[in-house]
Amino acid sequence: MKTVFSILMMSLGITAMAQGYKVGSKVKDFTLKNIDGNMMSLENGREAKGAIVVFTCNHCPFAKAYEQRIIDLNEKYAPLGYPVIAINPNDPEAVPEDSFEEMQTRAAEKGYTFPYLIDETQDVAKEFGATRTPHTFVLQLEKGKYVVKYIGAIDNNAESAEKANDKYVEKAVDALLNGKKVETTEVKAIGCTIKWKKG
Amino acid sequence: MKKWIIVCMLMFPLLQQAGAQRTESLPFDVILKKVSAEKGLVVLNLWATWCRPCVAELPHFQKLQDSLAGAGVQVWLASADFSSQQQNVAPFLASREFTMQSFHIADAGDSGWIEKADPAFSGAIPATLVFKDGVKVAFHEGAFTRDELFAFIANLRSRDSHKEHKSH
Repeated sequence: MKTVFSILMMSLGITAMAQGYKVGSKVKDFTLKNIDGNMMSLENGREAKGAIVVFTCNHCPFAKAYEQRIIDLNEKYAPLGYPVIAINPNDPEAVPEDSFEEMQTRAAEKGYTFPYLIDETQDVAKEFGATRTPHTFVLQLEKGKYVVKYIGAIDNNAESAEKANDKYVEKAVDALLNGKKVETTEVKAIGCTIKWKKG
Repeated sequence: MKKWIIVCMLMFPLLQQAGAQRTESLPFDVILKKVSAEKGLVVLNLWATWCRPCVAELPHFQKLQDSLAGAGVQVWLASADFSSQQQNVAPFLASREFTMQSFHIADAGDSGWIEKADPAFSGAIPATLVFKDGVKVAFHEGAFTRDELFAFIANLRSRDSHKEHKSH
């Protein structure tokens, strides 16, 4: 009985995970706490043309491997209207290294120039359908609403920035900046599971 | 006596290697090809040494192998560790006394292999694929408790025996 129940719960869990934004989805506004202590909303950035939302964290080796590339994306695209918004979706009780204080330390050490928000209730991660870190969503502002244009990997080589020769996020943002359609709209990538709160 | 000591000293690293059961680094589709040549159930677990939930469930997979090896069930591990870290995989397993067949996914850093694993796979590990006589019969993303894993496999095995009955 217990095992049947667990399997049932597992399948429900899997169904729940399958929800989230698709390419073309309109993004619900969210307000999360930034490392500077202030609350920040997606729809704050009205001068922006869009945003590069990255679910990322401190501890995950894949997130670490992409950290500099995330910083570089912001440097390149914030001035063009597509700033990076980093969101840590992990439960700090599961991973103390992903606590708010650790986020502040890391951002200071690396000189983050973009918001690094903490998704305390994990509702934003669930809304987006983020499953791992890093997990990137490129959004474009259309008539006052943010619309998802690309979901997934930053490029085709997690381990080495030098070996990455297919830069999906850059291609997507470049296309949007040039008024073109995004050709590759979804690329899956390996990453650490999001550490969901228990119970 | 001295000769024996030298022989033992030379043998020791070899013995270590044998216990560590070398982890071959292969592109994912080559690993899949190997699985497709196997008879019976192959449970292929995707993991990485740095992935905490992955490591937490390895003992359950070891237990699965221990209890079902005689019944034609194999448990294989495929690590998604970075290529620069792949030499850590075998010692990691050996030091924890895991004996499951172990591979390293040479193209793990690439993005193509994820779709090859399963269209439903989001890329978050751990994940487990199950093959019967070389054909994929199940995919599960996420960690298993011991009970969940055993129930999952038991379910797949009982499904098979029903099929066999039907074919008569």
